[in-house]
Amino acid sequence: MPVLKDGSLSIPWKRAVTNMTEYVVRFSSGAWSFRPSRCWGNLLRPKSFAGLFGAAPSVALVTLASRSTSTGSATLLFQTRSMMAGAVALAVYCVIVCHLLVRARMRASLATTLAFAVWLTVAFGLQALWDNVTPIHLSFSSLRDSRWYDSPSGLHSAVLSPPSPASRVIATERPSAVFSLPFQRSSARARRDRERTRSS
Amino acid sequence: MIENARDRRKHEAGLRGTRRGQQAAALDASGAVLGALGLLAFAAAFFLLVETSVMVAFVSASLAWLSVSVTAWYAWRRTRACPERRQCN
Repeated sequence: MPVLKDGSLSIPWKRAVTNMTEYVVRFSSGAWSFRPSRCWGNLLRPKSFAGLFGAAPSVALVTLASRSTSTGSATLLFQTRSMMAGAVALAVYCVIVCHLLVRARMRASLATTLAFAVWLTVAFGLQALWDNVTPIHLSFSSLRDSRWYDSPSGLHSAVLSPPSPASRVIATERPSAVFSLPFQRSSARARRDRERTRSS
Repeated sequence: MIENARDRRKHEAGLRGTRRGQQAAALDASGAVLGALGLLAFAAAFFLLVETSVMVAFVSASLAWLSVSVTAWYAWRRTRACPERRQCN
């Protein structure tokens, strides 16, 4: 781990440690928040009603709450969009598990393992479909007056230079392939801007 | 877990319990399907309202989850599971 002369971590490592801490907090608090809903599920009757609590948004609440304190609403929009894909995938997963248990008479462990592959396929398929079908709408009010420039970190092809903290969050924390096309476009635009400034 | 718990109870009663365990797990999974619909409503409500206010979005999304999943469960129970109001747990 690269430590600077003054004893502090370099910026990429600081970012990595912060992200890892956030993931650990989310994971542990999500697991703890899941326990009460599961207890309700064990206590309630009929069993199918108790099953509703198996899909309670306990982890979603913790994730969104932790995100809402640290970032703006724009990041939450992206998270809820992925959450919708996850919810559809979960519904498909549960249907398949149900059928495997009742019709194929499999053990629950085997049925859930097989259906997990389906969950992965549906979730990531929907995500990819959404990314390809719908263009990225950067029409949030905070991003309207943004300019584009190349990212020095190399993680993304380009990031925004936003006027507000909310849009800065998008620019720095979502370096996924989702943004590759608009960022590439903007990168060209940024290059043109730089050339113009140099010539002037 | 549900399957194992049912298996254990049936074993204690001197029966095999495998099938009963599978049925219990399947019933729980069918409830989870309806819960997932509620989760979808949760995410959609949050998606629509988060730009208005985060707190309003949290409350509305939680209410959306509760109402959609309970309504879906009630509709499912009336139409598919127990159409003649039989006792079925």
